[in-house]
Amino acid sequence: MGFLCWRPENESSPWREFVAAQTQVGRDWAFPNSRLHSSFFRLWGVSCTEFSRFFGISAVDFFALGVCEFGCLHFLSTCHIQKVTMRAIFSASAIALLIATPLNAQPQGLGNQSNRVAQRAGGPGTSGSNGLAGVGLAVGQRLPDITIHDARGKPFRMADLKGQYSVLVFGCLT
Amino acid sequence: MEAVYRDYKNKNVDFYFVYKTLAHPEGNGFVNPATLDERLMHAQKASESLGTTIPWIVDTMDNQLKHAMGDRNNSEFIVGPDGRIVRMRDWSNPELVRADLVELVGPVQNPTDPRSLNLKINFNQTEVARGVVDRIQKAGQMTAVKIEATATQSAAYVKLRAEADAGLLRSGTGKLYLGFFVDPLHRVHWNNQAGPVSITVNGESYTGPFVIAAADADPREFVIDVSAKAPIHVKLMYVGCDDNETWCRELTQEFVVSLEIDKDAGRVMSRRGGSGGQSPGRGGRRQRPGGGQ
Repeated sequence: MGFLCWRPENESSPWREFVAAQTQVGRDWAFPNSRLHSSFFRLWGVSCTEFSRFFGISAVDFFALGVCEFGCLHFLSTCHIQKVTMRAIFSASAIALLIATPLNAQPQGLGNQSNRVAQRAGGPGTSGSNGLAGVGLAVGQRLPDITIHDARGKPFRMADLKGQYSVLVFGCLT
Repeated sequence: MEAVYRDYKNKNVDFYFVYKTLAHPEGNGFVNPATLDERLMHAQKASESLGTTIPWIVDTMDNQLKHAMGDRNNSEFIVGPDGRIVRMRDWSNPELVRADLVELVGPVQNPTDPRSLNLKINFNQTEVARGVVDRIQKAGQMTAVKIEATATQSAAYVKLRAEADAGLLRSGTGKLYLGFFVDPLHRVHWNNQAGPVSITVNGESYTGPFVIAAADADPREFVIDVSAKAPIHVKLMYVGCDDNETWCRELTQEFVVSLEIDKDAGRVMSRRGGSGGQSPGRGGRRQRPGGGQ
């Protein structure tokens, strides 16, 4: 990557100076010394997880976005890889993954995962409609007026299922 | 579900299993039926194999009810006395059905324990050899296409599953997979002593693999290059015998393959081949038209 974006370090541009300034501000705030250097990334990983919950996206995706953004800014400012910084990034990534992976497995307040888990369970008193609602079916809807067959091949009208409760289960041999 | 049925059938609750197109053809050797009679046989076989007493109703051959009710493989619905849906799930859950019926109809005293029913799944398949013919490994993604079996003098002992690659679907030029499966419902097998099966595809002849075993029920598969517009006419010629060895005869079945995707064809879970047999059978051996076997 350093090779691809190599340019003489003494060459300046307005954009490069801006990025360098922003990076330096962040670095000065976060890394006054080497101990806070790694602590920052640990805190960053936890923060990413919490923010991801709020925004309803995967913690891993959120952190990955942050790492990419930080990495891009750094590369733009210096245009070569600094071993210390990359080591810190990878360490923080690993820590964030360790934190985020079990959290991702739990139902989240936002997004589709918790809905799928809840809907699969259904539960007494609930419709348990889950994916069927997405294909135009709804509780309260009449059965389609279709004539199929009974086990002897005689006509069987679905509209005749009235007068008492009926349980229908779709299935096949394999 | 059988336990729930036994508890609630006397409480004015009807139960039905709705037999639909196979979700996973080739499982236990079963393939999609070609006619309503065969689908009724499937439902009967399911009832016997699963040991359940819940009555079966059978969807139309064009799967109207399945399409109208969500196109799921194992969905369940509770319908009220007014004919309206009161509960629905895209995957059947007998425990939840029981809980729903407790709420809607009322509890039962001494509910049946499913384990006490001692139900065992038993497909009671033929004893003819299986796993003696290597399965073809298709290269790339292929999609099931619609087939129509034309009228034959005998029952459709063998079913065809046809799949086309993207090129064939798009432009009429590409690879066509033809899998001929002996239907276990009819309890018939290939007679290998009379020679390998042969097929013609729009007049071009192909020969299936030579098999050492005298009889088997493995599928015969071909992957051939096709450059043709739909429909594609396929003819299968083979010698079949019933499993009771009361008859053997030369049989011919004809199919018409369209290049229209069959959304009800189901998904094959795995194609595990046999380790024995003779010749890899990859597409068979092509014969010159009019050549003997």
